[in-house]
Amino acid sequence: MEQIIEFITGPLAYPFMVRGLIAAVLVGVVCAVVGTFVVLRGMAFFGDALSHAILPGLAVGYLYGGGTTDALFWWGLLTAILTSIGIGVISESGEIKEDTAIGIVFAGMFALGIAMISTVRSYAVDLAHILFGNVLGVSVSGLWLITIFGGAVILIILLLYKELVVISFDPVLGATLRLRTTLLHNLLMILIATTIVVSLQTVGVALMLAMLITPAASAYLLTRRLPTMMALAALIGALSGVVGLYLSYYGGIASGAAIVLVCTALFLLAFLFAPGRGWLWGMSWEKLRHAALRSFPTASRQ
Amino acid sequence: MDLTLIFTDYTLRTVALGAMVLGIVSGTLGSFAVLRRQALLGDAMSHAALPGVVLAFMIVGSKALLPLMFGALISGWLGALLVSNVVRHTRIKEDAALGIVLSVFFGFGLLLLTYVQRQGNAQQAGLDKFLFGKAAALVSQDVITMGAVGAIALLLMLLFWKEFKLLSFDPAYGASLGFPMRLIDTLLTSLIVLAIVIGLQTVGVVLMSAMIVAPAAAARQWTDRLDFMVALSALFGVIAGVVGALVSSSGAGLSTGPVIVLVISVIVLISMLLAPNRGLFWEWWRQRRNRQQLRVSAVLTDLHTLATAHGDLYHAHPVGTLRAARPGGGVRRTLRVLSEQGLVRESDKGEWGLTEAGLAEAERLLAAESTTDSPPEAEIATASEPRRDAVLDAK
Repeated sequence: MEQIIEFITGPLAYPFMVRGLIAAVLVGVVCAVVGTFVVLRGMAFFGDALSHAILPGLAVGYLYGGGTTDALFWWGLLTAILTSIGIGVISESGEIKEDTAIGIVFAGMFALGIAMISTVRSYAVDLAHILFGNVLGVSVSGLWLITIFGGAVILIILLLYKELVVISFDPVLGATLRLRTTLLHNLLMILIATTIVVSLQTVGVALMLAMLITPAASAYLLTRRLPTMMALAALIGALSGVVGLYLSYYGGIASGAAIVLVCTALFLLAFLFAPGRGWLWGMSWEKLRHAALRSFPTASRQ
Repeated sequence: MDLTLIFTDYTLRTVALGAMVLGIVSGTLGSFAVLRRQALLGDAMSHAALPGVVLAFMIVGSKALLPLMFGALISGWLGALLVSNVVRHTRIKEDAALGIVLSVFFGFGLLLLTYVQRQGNAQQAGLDKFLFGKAAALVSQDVITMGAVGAIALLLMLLFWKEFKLLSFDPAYGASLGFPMRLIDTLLTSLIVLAIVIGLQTVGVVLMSAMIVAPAAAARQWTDRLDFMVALSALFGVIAGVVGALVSSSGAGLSTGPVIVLVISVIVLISMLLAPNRGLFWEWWRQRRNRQQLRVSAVLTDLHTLATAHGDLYHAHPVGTLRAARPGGGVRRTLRVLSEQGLVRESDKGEWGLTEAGLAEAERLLAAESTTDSPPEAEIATASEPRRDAVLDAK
């Protein structure tokens, strides 16, 4: 028993570990709640693209903003919001196939960002931090930024919950109700952008997508009710943050990767064992049905 | 840079050849990915290749390209298989499934990479080049391997050209003809994984998806024929690959992937703006001309209507009257265009009236308007110019 307590409290002796845990939980919850809409509306590619596209902004912040994490935060936020508005404008004007356009523009911007950062001598280390995150390096002011902006995102979603649900499930109804669908859609994109920047330091650009969609997708497998799905996703997100950090502490692996791996393990559990519609459930059900058919040959023939 | 060095300098020649192979293969096979809207699949599979590369290295213990490519092939393929299984067995949509597979495989790959780097094996140095690519590290043995694998992929593509075409444009028709469409789909996906695998060392897993999508998307702008598109896409791929690889291997330690992707992005941008027929610039120009055309006929018929009301068919009116009849601006400019065509003339008092030719034209327009509800022929030609891509878009 004492060992278990020691196992849990051991890492908490380090202040950076405490800050990291708080940050991971906050980010896990914010990502999961926003991710619910990302998964339901099929915007996964958009999230991935956006997280890559802010790299040039980070590079500018890195080269001219002194490279402190707070400066990077503001530059990242600016780029992310501008980019999400840009995508909104492009996708509304139609014409260009969305997936192709997003794919190209963002690969291009990502490449530009890497090229910019690589002009600096020590780029390998810094690039690694931006790409893969370093949750244990979160400063107190960084934690405040995460809390304030993450809290704002959640608050806006709670306030506009009904409207967002309507435009997600039934855009036609939304238009009929004279909801400002375009405005709400753009707002949602800005919320996603903010979430990505908030989570950047925890999981980094490369693994951002997993934080955004995996908890929500796991919850999607477990329930059909949206509020339950959101709560479950938040729980899964927070849990992966905590377990991932302990894994990283004791296993000596990169924190971002550890969080994402825990998240995926939870997804796999949901995929295999979800009551009623999990893979395993389906398997046994199929087998039962076949067995039943075999034992009543006449019934199957009818 | 002295371009003849490509033929004489060993490193440059190897790099240029390697980039060429990569450009051709990813350009041709990418065309099918773009036509089938599988940009995200390419992205997912290139990220998914990373753990395969590192695992293959851990098993073989050397950086020989062939085993690493084999590892990448297997794990990329496994990723694609997982995606299709998740989509089939759960209600999770394809984009979310791709995203999950992408980040899981990539995360796992990074984990393995950090693990290998901590082992202190001298051989591992340079394995992280697979993230962003390092063309300068190519040796001629690698290029031969890439060439051989690429040749197999291209040969298979030519053999199954008809089937792939069917799959890209009308899979339901193909199935009704009795083609095994699932099998063809799997084959095409495998070939795309092969194309990705070929580029891993040069471009890296992170940006390889751009090499699959971008050349094909650029080529799509210029042509509506599949064979031209594939050829053009290969050409763009080669240009981007060779230019990018040469710049990065001559420059100060730039990774190859970003440079190649920047070059291909510029090509895409030019194609999006300037390609005849589909380019945004021409689109804008056509719209402008259409609006002008519509305004011309509108002002002409307005003049006719006003003049008829006065009983004198050549009765002249001030610009203000015409403006009141047709708000929206551009009246004076339109009148100037009309007078250049000899359809209207300005009187001494600055008032505008129809000429004889103008009267005939206005009557023709009005007659056409009253017999059919559609606009007169002169406008149809410009207003809804039949787009030549109708065949491809019909899909």
